[in-house]
Amino acid sequence: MNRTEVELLFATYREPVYRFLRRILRDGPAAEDLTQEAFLRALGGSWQAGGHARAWIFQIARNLARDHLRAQTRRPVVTPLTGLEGGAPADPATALALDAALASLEIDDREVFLLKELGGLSYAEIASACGLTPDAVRSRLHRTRITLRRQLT
Amino acid sequence: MNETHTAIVSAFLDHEPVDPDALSAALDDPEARAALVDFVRLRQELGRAGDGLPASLQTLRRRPVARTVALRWSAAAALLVLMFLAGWMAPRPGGDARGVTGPPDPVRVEKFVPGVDWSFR
Repeated sequence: MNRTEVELLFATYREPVYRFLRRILRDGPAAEDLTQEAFLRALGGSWQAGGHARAWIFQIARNLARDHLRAQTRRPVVTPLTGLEGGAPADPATALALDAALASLEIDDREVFLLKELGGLSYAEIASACGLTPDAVRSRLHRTRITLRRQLT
Repeated sequence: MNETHTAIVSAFLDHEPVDPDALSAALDDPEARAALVDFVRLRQELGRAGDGLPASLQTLRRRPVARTVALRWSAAAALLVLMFLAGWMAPRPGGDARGVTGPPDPVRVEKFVPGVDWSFR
């Protein structure tokens, strides 16, 4: 994939990729860096993840996030006071509760859920990006929603 | 709560194919309807977080952003230079530190003449 193609991909998907990474990492500056890194890694690469460019770029972002979180476990974690700095939630208490509920999920469930909700990927695309079957994505999403609903109500 | 019904409304919310009859049955279930509303509310809350695009993401950078990567490469390059210098400066057998190699010049030439008795008495 050449620079022009990647720049087009960047213009199209930088926002959902950034939002996904921010939620996964809970760290704005790291999410910014990894968003850039994800697209830079696409340079010279060839499409994988079932041939969906969107699934492919999210697959790269997901792998970068996993590496980052793995490295992070060896360092002290600084969590922002609000957990959602920079945003403007209607109700900070709800936003905090949502953030805590998301953080309590298993990493695999959180990824699948955020790829759907923030990335807008289809079940087939999530399956490609995460190495799952579409049926597994379907049931994982359902289970995660039920869990979150239980925690937030 | 009927898990099958909530699974159907969950898939319906995601614009995935669902069986219309199964959807109809699910929507007849008040629990599944309430779950659908909560799922929509959850999506709305996530969208409301307002993670605006930061200025750093206006353009795609031209160089790797990870400073650690650059640092690693610099350290590797510095190590290579040090290793090269150490190898160059180290004394070698048959040479000196300035890199002069090869055997010393001869100081005496012995000629072989057939029939000469080489044994010294």
